[in-house]
Amino acid sequence: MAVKETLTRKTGPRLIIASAGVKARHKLAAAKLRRTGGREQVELFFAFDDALSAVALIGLADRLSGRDVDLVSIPVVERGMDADPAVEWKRAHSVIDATRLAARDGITFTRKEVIRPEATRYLAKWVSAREPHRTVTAFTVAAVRAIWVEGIDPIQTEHFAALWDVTVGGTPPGPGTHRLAQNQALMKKRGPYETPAACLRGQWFFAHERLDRIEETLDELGWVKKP
Amino acid sequence: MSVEPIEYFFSYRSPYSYLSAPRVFALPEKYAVEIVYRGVIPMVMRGQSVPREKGIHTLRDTKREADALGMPFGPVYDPVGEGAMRCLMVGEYAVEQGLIKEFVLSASKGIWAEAVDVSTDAGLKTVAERAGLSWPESLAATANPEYRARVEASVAALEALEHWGVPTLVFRNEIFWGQDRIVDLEPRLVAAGLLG
Repeated sequence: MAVKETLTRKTGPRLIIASAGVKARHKLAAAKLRRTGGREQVELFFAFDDALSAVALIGLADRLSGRDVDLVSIPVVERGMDADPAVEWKRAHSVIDATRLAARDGITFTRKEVIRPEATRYLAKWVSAREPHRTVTAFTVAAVRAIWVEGIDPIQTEHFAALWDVTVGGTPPGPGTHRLAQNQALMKKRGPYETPAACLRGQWFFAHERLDRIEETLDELGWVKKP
Repeated sequence: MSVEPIEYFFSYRSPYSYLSAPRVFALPEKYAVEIVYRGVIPMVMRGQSVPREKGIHTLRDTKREADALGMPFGPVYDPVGEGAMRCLMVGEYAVEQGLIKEFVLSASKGIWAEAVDVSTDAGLKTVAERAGLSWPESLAATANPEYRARVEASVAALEALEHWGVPTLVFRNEIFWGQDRIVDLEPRLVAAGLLG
């Protein structure tokens, strides 16, 4: 009993804490990638109906620009802890919290109401139907800006179809081509259980509140901002 | 200038609460505010199932944040269960003695940076005496039903706010959840004319 207690309460935490942060192997892998002309990736699991995801997307797009780093935006719809009794409270609080976080960057969120996941599911389907690349991320950032900064109702599908045309080109993908289930599975495999979660070299961050830490990690890995 | 209260919902089992404590208790040095301590029972001891990944992520993230804040983190001794509850009870006694700041800082550092097992008498005595509390009185506090009722009232107060997590600060009914949201509270204190 005493051994089990020590393992779960002391030894386990010690090992987990020791695994935090950038290690030499991460730096070596990043350096090797740079030598071969490759680019780093930050995967961001996000949800269109999540105001905190909007903070993360807008903030990361800004902070990653000028670095040889791609923001890979991966939409999900279902997320959160199983049987969470506080899910509705969390949704309501997230809008207030996101508004304050955005204000730190001088951005005003005009939407004050919670959005139901069903209202933006079609946007997640569009994005998930395409291989992640920069144009899709450009759409993603523009779409969350439209929803949360400009206050455009997601019910206006024509507005978002026009955004798709401007940022990606053409008409949005048709029904039946989405890969939301694969995105959910990938998020689970990486570890996060909630959005917005940014994954970088085996570590993950709740991105809306760790934008500075993600930048510091990229600097440590050698993916510095170019002048 | 009148002093305004800031309610501070805190858990000894929350490493983020540990990170927040020095900065929260420093607020009265800068603003005309009083910290109203509200110790609450950990989420997992209130019947909430928590995914394993949440626990792992919290420890890693806290380590990164502690490094950024220049605070020690680890070695740890997880106080979930009796350890957390005993600290909550002694916390209520510390409030009466005017030593809650000292006890919170001592106990949370003991748990999260010194691997003190506060479920044992030796461990609890270490953090209580370091805070300036009497050990016999602290030990008696762990069995005081009045203190238990106060802890449960704090949990009820948090739920009445339609809130769940810690650390949480409440100023004029506005909720600031997270050790990294103190910076969002401070402009409200300035706007309220509370800058000393």
